[in-house]
Amino acid sequence: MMRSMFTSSLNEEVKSIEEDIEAVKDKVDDPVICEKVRQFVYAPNDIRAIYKSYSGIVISSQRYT
Amino acid sequence: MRVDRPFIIARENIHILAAVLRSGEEPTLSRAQMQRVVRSHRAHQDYLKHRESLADSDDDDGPQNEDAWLFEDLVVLTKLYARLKDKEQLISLIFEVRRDMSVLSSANGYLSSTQGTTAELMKDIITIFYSPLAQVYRAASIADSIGDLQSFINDLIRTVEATEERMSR
Repeated sequence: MMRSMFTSSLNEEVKSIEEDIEAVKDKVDDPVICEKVRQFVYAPNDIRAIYKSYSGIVISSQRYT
Repeated sequence: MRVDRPFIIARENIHILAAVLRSGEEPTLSRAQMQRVVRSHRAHQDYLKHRESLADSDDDDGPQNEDAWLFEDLVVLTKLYARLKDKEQLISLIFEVRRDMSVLSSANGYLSSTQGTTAELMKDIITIFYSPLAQVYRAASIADSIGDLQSFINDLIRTVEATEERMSR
């Protein structure tokens, strides 16, 4: 019983989050950028940590300005 | 301190996002896309500065131009993906199939068990702790205990975070 309770509420939440994601994707209007964001979120922890350690440097050096 | 945190996290995300989008990993962005990201990042930085200068956060109407909005949307997208990932992990935790058991039992011709280990564990815990818990609930005021538990877990999380920070240094 607990399982079915969990399943239905979790599935509903997942569905609503997915809908929100679709809406934001439509607004961004660039599947490649969205895919990069998705990859980053789903990357393992250590890869995310690397990005975190980068991020300060990239911004302060302003490589693309 | 608690008030500052969401903002700091949001600002971190933006920096990280810029790093993520500029990275050379597949799929790489085209030149036009890269320019769009950089322009958006700069506009968003300006917007953040503007937001910081506001005395009242209610005056904040969101970014003023399309470029800054792109970054704001990407931040939202990141958070949504993170929430989706959390939910997926939670589901897999609860319904984690005991593969070793099911392989064994199906090999022996028994019904295979597909109940998750976590669900099984929770059932056991509830069975064991139900009667003492019921006694405790009757004796103590639940609201207070839950408040105490919350502050304990908060302290625990803070301690673990501090340790992790020290370890990563």
